[in-house]
Amino acid sequence: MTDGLYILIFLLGGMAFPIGSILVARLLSPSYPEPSKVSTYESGEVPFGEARVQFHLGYYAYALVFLIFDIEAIFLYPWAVIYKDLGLFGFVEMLIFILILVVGLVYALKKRVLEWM
Amino acid sequence: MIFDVLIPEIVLTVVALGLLLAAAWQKEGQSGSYLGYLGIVGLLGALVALWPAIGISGEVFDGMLVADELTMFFKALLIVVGILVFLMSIEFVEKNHIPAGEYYALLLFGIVGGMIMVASADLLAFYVGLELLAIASYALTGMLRNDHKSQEAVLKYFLNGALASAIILFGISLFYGLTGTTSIQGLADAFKVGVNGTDSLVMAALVFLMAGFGFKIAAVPFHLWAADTYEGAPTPITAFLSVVSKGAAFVVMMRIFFVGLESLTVNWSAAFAVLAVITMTVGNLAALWQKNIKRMLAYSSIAHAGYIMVGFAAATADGLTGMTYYILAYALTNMGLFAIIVAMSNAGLGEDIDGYKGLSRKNALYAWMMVVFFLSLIGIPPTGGFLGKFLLFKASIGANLVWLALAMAINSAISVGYYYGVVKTMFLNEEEEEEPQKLPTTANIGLVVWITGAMVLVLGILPSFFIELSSQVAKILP
Amino acid sequence: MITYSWIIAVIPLLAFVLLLAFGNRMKERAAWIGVTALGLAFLMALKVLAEVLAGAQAAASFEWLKIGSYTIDMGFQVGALEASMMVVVTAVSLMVQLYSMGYMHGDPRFNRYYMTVNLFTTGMLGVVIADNFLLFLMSWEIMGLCSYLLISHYYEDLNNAKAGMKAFLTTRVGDVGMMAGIWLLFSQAGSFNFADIAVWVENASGSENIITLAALLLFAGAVGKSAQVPLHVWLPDAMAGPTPASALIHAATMVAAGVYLVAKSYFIFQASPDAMFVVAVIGALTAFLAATIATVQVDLKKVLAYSTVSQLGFMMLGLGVGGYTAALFHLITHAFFKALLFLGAGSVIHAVHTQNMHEMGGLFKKMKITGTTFIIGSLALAGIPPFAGFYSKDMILLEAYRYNEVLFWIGAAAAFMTAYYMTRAIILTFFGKPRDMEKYEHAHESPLNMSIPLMFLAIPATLLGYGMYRDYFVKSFITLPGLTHAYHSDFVMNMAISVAVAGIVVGFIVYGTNWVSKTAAIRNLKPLYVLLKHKYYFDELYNGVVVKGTVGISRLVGWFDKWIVDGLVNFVGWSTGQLSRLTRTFDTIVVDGAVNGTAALTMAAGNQVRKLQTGVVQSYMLVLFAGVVIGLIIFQLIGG
Repeated sequence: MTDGLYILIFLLGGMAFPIGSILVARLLSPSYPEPSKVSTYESGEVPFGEARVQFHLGYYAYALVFLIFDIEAIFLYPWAVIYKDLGLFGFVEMLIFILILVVGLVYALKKRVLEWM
Repeated sequence: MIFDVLIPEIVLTVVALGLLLAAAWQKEGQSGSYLGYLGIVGLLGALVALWPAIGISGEVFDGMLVADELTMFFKALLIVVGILVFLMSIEFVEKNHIPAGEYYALLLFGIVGGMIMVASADLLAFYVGLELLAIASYALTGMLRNDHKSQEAVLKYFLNGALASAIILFGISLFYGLTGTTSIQGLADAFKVGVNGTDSLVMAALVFLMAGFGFKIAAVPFHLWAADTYEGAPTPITAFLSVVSKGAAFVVMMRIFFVGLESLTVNWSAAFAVLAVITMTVGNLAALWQKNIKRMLAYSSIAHAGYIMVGFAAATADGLTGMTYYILAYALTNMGLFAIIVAMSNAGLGEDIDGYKGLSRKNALYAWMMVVFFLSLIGIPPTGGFLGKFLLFKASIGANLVWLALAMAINSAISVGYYYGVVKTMFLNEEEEEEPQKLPTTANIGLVVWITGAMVLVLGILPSFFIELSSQVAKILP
Repeated sequence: MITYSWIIAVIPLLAFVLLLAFGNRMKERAAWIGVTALGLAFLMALKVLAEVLAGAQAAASFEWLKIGSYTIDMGFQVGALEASMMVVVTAVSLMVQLYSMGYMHGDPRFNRYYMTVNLFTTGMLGVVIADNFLLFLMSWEIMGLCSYLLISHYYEDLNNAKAGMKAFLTTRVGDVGMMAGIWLLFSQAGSFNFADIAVWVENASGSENIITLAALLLFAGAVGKSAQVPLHVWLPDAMAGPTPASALIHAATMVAAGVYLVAKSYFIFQASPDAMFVVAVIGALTAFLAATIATVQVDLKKVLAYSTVSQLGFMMLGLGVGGYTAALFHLITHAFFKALLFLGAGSVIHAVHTQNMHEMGGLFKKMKITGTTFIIGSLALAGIPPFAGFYSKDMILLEAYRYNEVLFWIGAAAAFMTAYYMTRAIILTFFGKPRDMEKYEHAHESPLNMSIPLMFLAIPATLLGYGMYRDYFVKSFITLPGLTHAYHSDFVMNMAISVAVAGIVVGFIVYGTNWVSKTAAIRNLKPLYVLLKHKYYFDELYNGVVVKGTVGISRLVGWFDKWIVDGLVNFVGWSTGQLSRLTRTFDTIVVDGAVNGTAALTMAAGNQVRKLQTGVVQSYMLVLFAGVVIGLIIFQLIGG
């Protein structure tokens, strides 16, 4: 029960943080709208066109490869922590895991997913 | 121990990765047939590698996977079906300019996913296998990139499938919450001691699990995706979906329901009985109207899911044996049938039933074999399908579900209507021309048709060996 | 030899395989494979029969499969009944295949025809020697398939294809019942074997209702296969097939398989007097109705088809009234003389290229062999002593007389009609003035390979009855323990002979002389038109009601209205001719209507189901989710 409670508190706290900060900002900040202020902020560039545009499919494949290696990196952390306990078996296992991902990477490379058109 | 049992999966994964690499170097317009044959070699290797594992039973990966009679039977079936799908794909892939390396690699991944499913002793391992199979299937369904039907098919399949996966996962998490374990055996133990089986949360978990599985096996009312997806997918993939995806899901269900949720048998068996009748009836009625043969077979496969579910409704060892045998017979029958449909589509005759006019004069082998396969699907001796129905009949009567057996008999009589329509078209509505253009039997498809046709008849005439194997499966029962 | 009887059933199968492999290359010489195989099978069957006559019996089985605690055996048994049937089947099949060499000459699907006939023969022999319901059912289905293929042999004409479909679907209606019956027996007795089930029946006290149910379900299969009322509609249409195939399948063997089924499972029927009564009534009804219909047919083959239905009704009547021996005796004699009649009709059709009797006439002068043998067959069918049919039909009537006098009189009326319509057919076909001179000029006697089978078949049609009846040989041979036989009755015999003679005389008066005015016939045509209009009306009514979904009630109402109200009016008012037309209308409206209506209802339901499929992925997901929600609610309410 206590474990569950912790998680619940964590969850509520996590949710309260963004909601709270937005609320506080809205309450405290002065509001003097003018056209350039309410327009979409785009790194200082003048925005043009609609926000709803079709993105190039390349983004998707790119993001996918990124995501996979992101997860791989996260998976490597716990493995590294108990690396000594796992010994050679763990090493070989992780090697196989990375190898499989490398095959994917090579495939992506050859299919020119990582090149920008 | 681990490697004895897992060598087939390892072999297939390595071959699949190899195919993927080969695909990376594959040039535009270059023939990819050799990749297909490479895949077949890999599958044959896996079949051989299955040999040393015969008779071994036990757990792998801390109880995540299991090796027993059920696993062995269906792993072998999956590999054989894989070989058949490969054989019927080779020409199709060439003709339709499907990227060969990716196609074959994904097929192998899908088969590995199925093998993990049938071997899983833990809900999480099962889920991993399920997703491996499902994601490969999604991609394969959309392989005809320039065909809008294929694209429609993949979108519907993917969206519905994602929802179903979520529902299954939700069911699993509920069970985990209730029992504190994801192990199938653990579930059974937990229900025996302590956990109240009639808790409303247990019922909810059961419903979610059944609904998710209902999607995978295309049971009514979770079946709507099936017709569009089966119609749009590349034909060999339709065969793959109707046999591998469906079959693997059934096998996992056997283990989960018969072993893990044994204490809840009263609840799920009644629900399956109702689902079975609805599914077979709706499937057969909808099939009556179809003009496209793939769509017709989609509904027919829905109906067959209904028949198979009778085994769950009976919830006995006989039911388990019956389902196993039925899946075996159904898998081989469907493979043969789809091989002929692939041949027809390769020859440019399309997928409309009208395109089968006068097939008996164009290619007598195909026409007669289709009759054999239809007989098997209807359940008329001397074919495997008859014996499958026979065993399920027996199981349902043994479980005092005579009304269910009757529903099955009536449904199989209805199904004569639409199968007969195709036969009539093949044999009777011949075009007036003197000598119709012959449709030559190609080596790969001919091989598939001969193997499956022979097997369907063997299953109907000399079934002892396979019945024995099927009844071994019942050993999983506690 | 007798222990290897199963080889006889395998021989045609081998011929089938050989024809499959080499038949197309051999052109029409392929026929010799079938003829040789059947010749061999026939000789072996004779040898087996000789051994059985000497007192031998055989049965053997092997374990086919083992499911849990059940073992299912496959095997055969050969006793008196089986041995006799094997001889009949192989003999008729041999004659038909010999005959077909001439009849099917030049057919583009010659080989396919021979393949199917051989496969069919295997199926029929399988039915004959099976010692269990499973093998019986499998062979039964093989026969059904071959029958369908042969009916639609000339599939260039869509009507023939439709006739094949009708036969297939109609018999399946009965088959569903039969399968259910087999299942019921299996669930009770735990075995498919006739012997095991017999043991169960003997010891099953207190389950009379189940036995009756099982018997009636099995009888449903027999009604379908043997074309008994109300599932008889397919057999007349089945005449679309090649005539020799009709002779083999739709006259001599397959259609008799239903009778054989009842005979084989007689121990079940014997245990249920109610079921026996149903069999007897259906049989008598069929014998009578079909005979009346046959009197107005103009198509020579249809006359024979309805006559077959009628004779099968006689056999069922015989079984129902306890005349096991009589019915099977009639089955055997009927197989020979009806095959003879069909082959004779085929010979005529071959010569004049029409089946319409009004385009024939005077053919006897041109076709002496065909004419003579046809007349012999007709005399046998009409039941004139000393031809074969007299003895067997007399025995059935005798048994019926002992059982119930009403049934006896119905049977006698049918026998009268039988003699009448055969006389009519003979006079229209062979005598009088040729009505179509062009066809008459071209007519000629058929080639030897067609006329020799006719002569061969004329021998048993003439002698078999007396040969088997003498010394009551048949009574001690094809019988069951505990059966009692009706003894000879002069009244019944005299009655049988006089109705047959009366039928012939009336037929001769009407068609052979000018004594009856033809204006009477024209006057009779008027009500026919009215009836035709009526038929249209009922079809419309029927379809309209089907669409509204109250098919069951309307069928009952329509049937009642048509059959009872109109039927009574017409029955009283008009003569046999009208009655037969009425029964035929009943046939097309109610029975066909029921078949079509059920099909329509099923299709309509399918259409509704199809509408669920909108193609919109959101609604698919919505349905999926709704399924979950409904499931949740149900499970929460009733706990599964």
